[in-house]
Amino acid sequence: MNLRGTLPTLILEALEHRPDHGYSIAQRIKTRSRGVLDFKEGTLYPTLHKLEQENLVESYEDVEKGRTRRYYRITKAGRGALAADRAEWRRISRAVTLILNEA
Amino acid sequence: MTLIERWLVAATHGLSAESAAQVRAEIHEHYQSAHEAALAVGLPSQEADLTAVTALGEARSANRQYRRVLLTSREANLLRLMTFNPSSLPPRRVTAGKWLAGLLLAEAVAGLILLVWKDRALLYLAAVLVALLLSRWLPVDTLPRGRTYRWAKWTALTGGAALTGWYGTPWAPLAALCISAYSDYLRMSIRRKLPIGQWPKALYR
Repeated sequence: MNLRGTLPTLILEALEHRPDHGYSIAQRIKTRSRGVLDFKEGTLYPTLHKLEQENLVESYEDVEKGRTRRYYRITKAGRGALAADRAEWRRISRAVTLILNEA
Repeated sequence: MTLIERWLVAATHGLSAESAAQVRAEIHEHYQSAHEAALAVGLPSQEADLTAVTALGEARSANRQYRRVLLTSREANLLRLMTFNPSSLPPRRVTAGKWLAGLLLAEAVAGLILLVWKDRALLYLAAVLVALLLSRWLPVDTLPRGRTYRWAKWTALTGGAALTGWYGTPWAPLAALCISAYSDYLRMSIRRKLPIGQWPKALYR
């Protein structure tokens, strides 16, 4: 299932508790949604760049097992955006549930 | 060419050299991790390769998304032009060939001035273009000043175009408008992609 427009929010959520690199972010989103939310991994990086341009995440390089990796961490503005996205998602989700339960 | 190389060629098409290098580095890193994970679950190398590349999705779609957030080669060229400093070039010797080229250029400019002078409509357009050239010395180095400058520029350009069109020379103003629109489109795209701290002064315009 590909929920258009939700990838930035899912990335921010994945980075909420610790910085991570692209591959791990993609795997965590897929695993945590039990494979329901599937997306093409090539689209992850343009989204990460966009979040970086909007100052919602920042990146740095680090070495893991002898390999240089680019890590991403959420910024203060990113946490604010995540909180707003969560509230909006709950509001929409409640509304859709109400409608579907009526049917 | 390997599968991942083919994917990267398509995904970096039209991007600036710097952007393409960045994409290559991050996708290679991602691909290596995915390839190792596929090998770890027991897939043979060729199948692991296919799985890792397939997971990336369609390269052309990734290319479209990358073009929205990273500098394209055209934008990088324009940015280089904006930051070009002629005084940084090493001094060159003036040869006879260069004198001749200078002479031909001077003749071409003189011919153009004569043509403009004879056609009243082109004269209006030339006045707008000269005003635009002179405006480069204005201190346009903040966001509000940039917006005001662009508003004034487009008012002058469209006004000039309307006037020259009225006098029956529609091709010249149309060409000027198209060039300006394309240049402004590239500038707008660069402004969206670069952090304000990295903007050259000319990008505010």
